[in-house]
Amino acid sequence: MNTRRNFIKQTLAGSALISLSGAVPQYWLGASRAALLHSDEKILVVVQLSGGNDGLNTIIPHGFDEYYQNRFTLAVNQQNVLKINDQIGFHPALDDFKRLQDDGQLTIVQGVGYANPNRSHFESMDLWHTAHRTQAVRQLGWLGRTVEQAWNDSDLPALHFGEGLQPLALRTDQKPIPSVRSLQEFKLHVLANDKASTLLEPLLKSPPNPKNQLLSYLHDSSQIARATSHRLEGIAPVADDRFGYPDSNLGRNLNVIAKLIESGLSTRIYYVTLDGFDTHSNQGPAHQGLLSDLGSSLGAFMKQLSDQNNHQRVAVLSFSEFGRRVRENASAGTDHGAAAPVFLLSGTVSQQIVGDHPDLQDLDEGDLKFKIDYRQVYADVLQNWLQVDSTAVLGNRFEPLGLFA
Amino acid sequence: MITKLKFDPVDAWQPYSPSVNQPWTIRLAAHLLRRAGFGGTQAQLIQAEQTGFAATIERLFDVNSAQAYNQEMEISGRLVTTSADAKSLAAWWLLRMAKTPCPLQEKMTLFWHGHFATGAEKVNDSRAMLRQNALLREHCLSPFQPMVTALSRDVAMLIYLDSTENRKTRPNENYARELMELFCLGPGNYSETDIKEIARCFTGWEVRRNQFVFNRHQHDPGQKSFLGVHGNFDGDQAIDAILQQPAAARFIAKKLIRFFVFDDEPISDELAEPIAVELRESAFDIALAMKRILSSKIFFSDLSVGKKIKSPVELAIGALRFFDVSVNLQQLGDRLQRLGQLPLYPPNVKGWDGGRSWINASTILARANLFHEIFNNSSNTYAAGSLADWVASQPSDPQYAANWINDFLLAEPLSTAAATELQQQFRRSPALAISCLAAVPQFQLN
Amino acid sequence: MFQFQNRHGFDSVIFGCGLVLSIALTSSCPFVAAKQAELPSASPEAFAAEFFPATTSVYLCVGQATQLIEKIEQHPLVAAIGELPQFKKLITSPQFVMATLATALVEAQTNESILNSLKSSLALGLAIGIDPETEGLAIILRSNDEAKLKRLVGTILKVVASGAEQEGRPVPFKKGTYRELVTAEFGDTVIARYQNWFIVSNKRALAKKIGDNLIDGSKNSLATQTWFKAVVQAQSTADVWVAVDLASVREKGLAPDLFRGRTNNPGAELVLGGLLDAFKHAPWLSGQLNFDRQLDLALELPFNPQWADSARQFFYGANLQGTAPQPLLPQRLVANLVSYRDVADWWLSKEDLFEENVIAQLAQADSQLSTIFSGMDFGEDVLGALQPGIQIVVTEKAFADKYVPDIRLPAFALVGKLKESDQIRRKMKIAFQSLIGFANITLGMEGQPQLDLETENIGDAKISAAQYVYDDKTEAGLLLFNFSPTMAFQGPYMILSSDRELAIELAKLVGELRPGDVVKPTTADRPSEPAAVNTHLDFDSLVLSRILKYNRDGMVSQNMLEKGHGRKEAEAEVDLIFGIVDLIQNGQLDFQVNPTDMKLAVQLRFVNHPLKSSR
Repeated sequence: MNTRRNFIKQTLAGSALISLSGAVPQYWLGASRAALLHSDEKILVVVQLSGGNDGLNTIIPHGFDEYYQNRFTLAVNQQNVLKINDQIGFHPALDDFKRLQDDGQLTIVQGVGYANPNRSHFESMDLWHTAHRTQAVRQLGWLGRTVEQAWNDSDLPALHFGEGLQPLALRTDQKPIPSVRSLQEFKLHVLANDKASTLLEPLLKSPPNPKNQLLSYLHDSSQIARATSHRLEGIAPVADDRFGYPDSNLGRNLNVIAKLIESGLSTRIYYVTLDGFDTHSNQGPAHQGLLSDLGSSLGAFMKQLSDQNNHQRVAVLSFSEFGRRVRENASAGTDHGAAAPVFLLSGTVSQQIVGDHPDLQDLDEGDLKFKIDYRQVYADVLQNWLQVDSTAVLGNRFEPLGLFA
Repeated sequence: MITKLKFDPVDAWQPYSPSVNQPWTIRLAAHLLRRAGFGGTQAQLIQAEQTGFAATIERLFDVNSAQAYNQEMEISGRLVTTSADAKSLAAWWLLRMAKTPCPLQEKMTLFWHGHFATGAEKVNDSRAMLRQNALLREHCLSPFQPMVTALSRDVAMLIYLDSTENRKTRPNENYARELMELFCLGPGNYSETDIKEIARCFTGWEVRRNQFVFNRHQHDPGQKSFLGVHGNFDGDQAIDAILQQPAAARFIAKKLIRFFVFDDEPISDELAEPIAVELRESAFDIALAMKRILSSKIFFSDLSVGKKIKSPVELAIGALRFFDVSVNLQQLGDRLQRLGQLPLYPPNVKGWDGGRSWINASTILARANLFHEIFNNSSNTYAAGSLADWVASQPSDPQYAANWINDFLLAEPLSTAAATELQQQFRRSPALAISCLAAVPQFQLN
Repeated sequence: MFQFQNRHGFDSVIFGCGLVLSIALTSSCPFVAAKQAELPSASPEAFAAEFFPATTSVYLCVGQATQLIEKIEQHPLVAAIGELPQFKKLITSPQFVMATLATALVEAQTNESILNSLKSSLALGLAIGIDPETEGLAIILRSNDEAKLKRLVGTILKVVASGAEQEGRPVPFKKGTYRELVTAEFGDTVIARYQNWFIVSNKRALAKKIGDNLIDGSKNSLATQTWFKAVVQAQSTADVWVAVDLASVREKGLAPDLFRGRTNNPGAELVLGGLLDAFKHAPWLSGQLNFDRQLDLALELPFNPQWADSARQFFYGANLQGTAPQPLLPQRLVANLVSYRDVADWWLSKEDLFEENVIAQLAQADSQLSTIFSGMDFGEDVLGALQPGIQIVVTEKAFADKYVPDIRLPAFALVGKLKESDQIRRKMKIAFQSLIGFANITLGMEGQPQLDLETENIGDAKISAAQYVYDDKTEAGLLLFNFSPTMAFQGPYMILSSDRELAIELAKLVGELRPGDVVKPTTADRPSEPAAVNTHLDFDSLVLSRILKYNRDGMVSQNMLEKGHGRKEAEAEVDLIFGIVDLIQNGQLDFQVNPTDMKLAVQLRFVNHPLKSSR
C-alpha cells in the first residue's frame, strides 16, 4: 500500500508539469501516470462464445465424407467453404477470419477440450472459467487468480464489458474486477456542470487525515479513477465506422476496448461475451448470423489495433464451453457436444493451425474426442503472453503450445 | 473531541460515559446513528444530542416502535412477491430501510443476511426469500441458537446450499461445512470428519413443494461423533454441540465487531473475548452484545469513528433518510447492484466482504454519479417540498448551522474552508453541492 | 425534435408562453368588433396563417377559443376533477397557493374573474407556428381591446423590472419599437404588440417577419402555400387544429427516423408499418381535436397507393383492401383489438423489412419457435396456417371464492381463422399439449401446482383446457389462479386464451358470426368513407376500473417501490388514478387506409355522457 502511495506522490510532481500546458484542472492529473501501461506489457482480450459453438460448422472439415453424412441439412456446400487446405475451411460468414489467417494474425487451435466431457452448459463453462475440477463451493476464476497473483497492486488489472453477469473466470478472492456496462460509468457526471470543477477542486485537494489509512485509500482510488476518466474523455460510445464494426453489442464493446487500449489504460485483461450459440433447431441462419457478427467484429477490432500500432501487444482468445454433436438432430439443429476449436488472434502468431482436426470416425459416444487440453492454451497465454507463472495460476503444469511467434 | 486512547481489550469494552473530556456531541451521535442504522436527519441528531447518550441507546433498541410499520410492510411484501421477482423484493427491503422507525432492526437484519448469505438468483423463489427475510428480522436481536435452528429449516437456505436432497446414503456436506465455516465457528475450528458426521445429522431435512419436511426414511439415525461428542444426534443437537464450542461465541463476536466497529484493524482473540463472554453468559443474546458494542469506549474512540467505508446500501439509504427524499427503489436497486451490493443478491455464500472491497476505480465514480442522478431527478419527491425547501427548513441556530456538513454528514471532517464553501453552495444550488459532496473521499466513510 | 440554438433561447420561449398566457388571462373587455373590417378574411382555423412566413412548417391554432372555454367550463369531467379530494388537496399546496395569489392580484387590477377574462380575450384566437428557416417558434394572440392589451403589457414589464431591481439583477429586457410594433427583447426572445395583436417569439427574425406581414399584408405567407390550402380544404373546423408541412420537415432532416420509411423494430413494424410509408411520402399531416361530451382526436395524412411498400402487403392487404376481422364482444369486455395483419407474411418478409442484425435475431427466434412447434417451420407452417387478420380480446375474469389470486389479471385471448382447418388443427393441438407438458415439468420442479389438460366438446366447439390442480397445500393468493390456458376450435376459428371460460364464450360468439360482416368505422362523417377499417379498438374503462380496484393493495405496494413513498402517499396517488379512470366510460380507435388518405380517429366518452350507440 505504502509503496503505491509514494509512487503516486512522485508522479504527482511529474504530472504537474503536464498540467501547466493545458486547461485541465490539476487534480485530474493527480495520478495519471499511475494508471499508464508500459508499451511492452501485453494485453489479453477474451471473447467468450456462450451456449456451445458448433465447431464443425465453424471450421468445416469439407474434405471428410463423414461431415456431409452427419450434417445432412446443415452441411455447408463444399464450394462455399472458405478453404484453408483440402481438409478444412472457414464457414462462409467468417471471411474476416480467413483474411486474418492469411495475414498471419489468426491461429486455429483444433480439437480443444478436456477428459470426461461435461455436457451441462453451467458445469462445462465453470470448468473453462476455473480451470480446476474441484468440489469447492467458492471457486475463483483462472483470470481472477492471474490478476491476484501477478498484478495485485494494479488498480484496474481487468475489465469485463457487457450487460450480463460477470463471468466466473474473473472472480477474485479480494479485490473485485469491475464490470462495465458503458463508458458513461467512467465519468463523473457532475462535471457536466461548469461550476462543478471549481467547487470540487478545493474539496478534493483537502488533504486527508494522514492517520486514517482508509481515507488515504479512498483518496488514492478517487485520484486514479479521475485520472483514468480524464484519459477516456472523448471516447465515443458508438462504433467506429472507419474500421467496419457491425452494429452489434460485440462490435461496440470491442471498439470501446480498442479505444481504451489506445488511451494507455493499465488494464491487462478485457472480457466480452457473445451469446446465442445454443442452436438446437434450425441452426443454419442463426449460427450464420452469430459467426458473421464474431468475424466482422474481430476483423474490425484487429484493423483498429493495427491502425493504432497496438496489434503486436494484444492477443484475442475466443472459446466456447463445448462444441456440438457430430450428427445433427431432427430439428435441423445440433445438441451439446465436446471438443471444438479455439481461436487466437494477434499481430503475429506462430502458425495458422495448431493440432489436427479431431477424427470424425473415432467418436466418444457421438462426440469428437479432444486432442488438446484447454489448460494448455491457458498455460501458453499465461506463460508466453502475459509473462505469468502458469503453474501457480493453474495449480498444475500444462505444456504450452507455442502459439506466439 | 474524539478520544485518541489505545485500548487494552478489557478497557475497550468498558462503557463510554459522557464527560467533560469526552462530551456527548452531535458528531458522536451522528457516528452512532450511522453505524446502528443508516444515519439520522438533522432533527433526529439534535434530539439525540439533547436527550443524551443513554436515552439515545434506549431509543435505538426499542424494537416495538416499528411494530405497526412492520405489519404494513409484511402485507406489501407478500403482494410484491405475488407478481414480481426478487429484484422487486430487494426494492421493497430498501424502502423498508429508508422508512423504518427502527433502523437498528433493519441494520441487524442486513448484517445477518450477509452472515447467512443466501442469493435470490439461485433460490429463484421470491416468497422463500421473503420468508427468510422475516425470519432474520424476527431473530435479529435475540438469542443466536434459535435463529440458527430456524435457518437450518429455512427453504431458501436449504435450496441455496444444495441440501434439498440430503439423503442418508449420500449426505450433502455443503450445509454442514458452511454451518461451521461461515455461520458458527470459522475455519480451523473443526475437521473434515466433523463435517462428514454433521452432514449425517441433517440427512432427511428436505424441501418439498416449497415447504421444509423431515423425511425420516432418509434420515441417518445412527451414532455420530464430532467435536468431541458422540450420540444419535439430529441437526438441532448438532447445532447445540457446535455452539458449545468456545470458538463459536468468539467467531460471532468478531463478525459483529468487524461489521459495526472498524474495517481495517485486526481483531485479536483477546479483543473479541469480552464480547464473547457476554454472549456465552447470556445464552448468545445478540441484543446484549450489541448494546455492549454500541455503548463501548472503543466504539466512540478514533479507532472506530471514520474507520469504516460506507457500503452501497449505507451510502444510498443514508442519503434518502438525511434529505428525506423518495425515489424509485427498483431503479435504485439496479444502481446498487452495479456498485456491488444489492440486498438478496450477495456475491456468494460468504456474503459481502465489505471494507476496501467496495471501492475500485469504477465504483468510486459510480457512487458519486448515483447522487448526481438522484438529486437531479425531478420526479423524486422531498418531504420538505423540494430540495431548496429542505435547505431552508434546516436549523438556523448557529450552534448547529455553522459547521453542519462536518457535524451531521461526515465521519472524517473536511477543512473548515472547504466545508464552508460547500455549505454556501448548498444555498445556491443544493443538487450541485450534494453531487460534489458525494465525490469527496471523506463522504465515503461511515 | 426541433434543435434550438441554445438553451437560453428555449427558456425564453417557455417564459414567453407564460407571459402570453397571463396576458390572455387578463386582457379583458366587452367584445369589440371595431377592427374586424381591416382583417383579411380567412377560414377560422387559418385565422393567423397569413402572418406566418411561407416557410412555417408546423401550425397550431385555437380558432373558436371562447366556445372551447365554455365547453371546458361546463364539462362534467372538469367538474368531477374539481370534486376529487386529491385535487382539493393539490390546490392547497404551496405552489398552487402562490399561483392563486398572483392571479388574485391581477384579478384585483382588472376587476374581473379569470374565466371571464379568458373567454372574452381569446375570442379572436390563438396560433402557434414553428419556422425552421429562422429556427423560431412564435405565438400570435389576438385580443379585442387594444387599450387594455397595451396597459397590461406595460404592467407586466414593470413588475418584471422591479422584481429584478429588488434582487439586484439588471432588468432582463430591452424596450424598443420596430415600425409600428412596440417591443421588448429578452435576449433573442421578443414580445411585441401591434394594435390588438400580440406576438411572442424566441427569434427576433421571426418576430420581424410576422410584424411586417401584420402591417403590410403578404402575398407569400403560410396561408398561400399549396400544402396549407390542401390541409384547410381537407379538414373541417376543430377546437384545436394542427397542420404540419411534412415535406419541409423531411427536407430539413428533422426526426429522420420517422421519415425513413423503415423501422428496424419488428413489433413497431407489425403495428405501424404502413403509416411509415405515408410519413415517408405524404406532403402534410393534419390533426384536429374536438372536446365536447366526448373527446375526439383525428389525424389525417394524404396517401397514394403507389407509396405502399411491396413488402408491406401484410399491413395493407392486396390492393389496400385489408379489413379488420369482425370484433367479438363477450361479457365484461375490457378491450377488443381487431386488425388486418397477415402475420405469416410479416414474419416471412423479414429479409426485406429489417437490417441484418434483426434478421439474425429473428432467425434465431424462428429456430427456437420451430422447436416448440415440433419441427414445423414457424413462419411457413405455423403462422402460415392463419388467415390474415388478428383479434385480441381482454375481459374481466370471474373467480370462485377459493383460490383468488392476490393480484387479479384480466383474461386474454387471441382469435385467428385457419386457412385449412383439419390438418393444422391437429398439429396446433399437439403443439399446445407439448407446451402444457413442458410447463408441467417446470412447474413440478418448482413445486408449483400442475396443469391438467382436458378436451371437451361444447356445441360444435372443441375445447382443450388446461387447469391447475390445487390442494390443501397450495399457497394462498398465487398468481397462477388467474390462468387456465385453453385452446379452442370452432369451425375454421382458433382461439388461444389465458382462461377457459373466455375461450368457451368466444367459441360461442364465433359460431354466431355472419359471413361477410366487416367493421364499419364508427367515426365516419362523410359518405365517401370506405366500408371498412384496417384497425379498430374498443375499450371499456368501467370494467378496467373494476379490475384495477381489486388490485388496489398491489398497486399501492408497487407505487411505494416506484416512488419510494410511504403507504399513505402511495394510497393517495393510486386513488387519484382511480378517480380519473372512473371519469371515462369507454372509447374507441379507428384506423383507415383509403386510396387518397390515411385516417386515425380516437374517441373517449365520459361517464354519464355516453355517445349514442354507433353500432
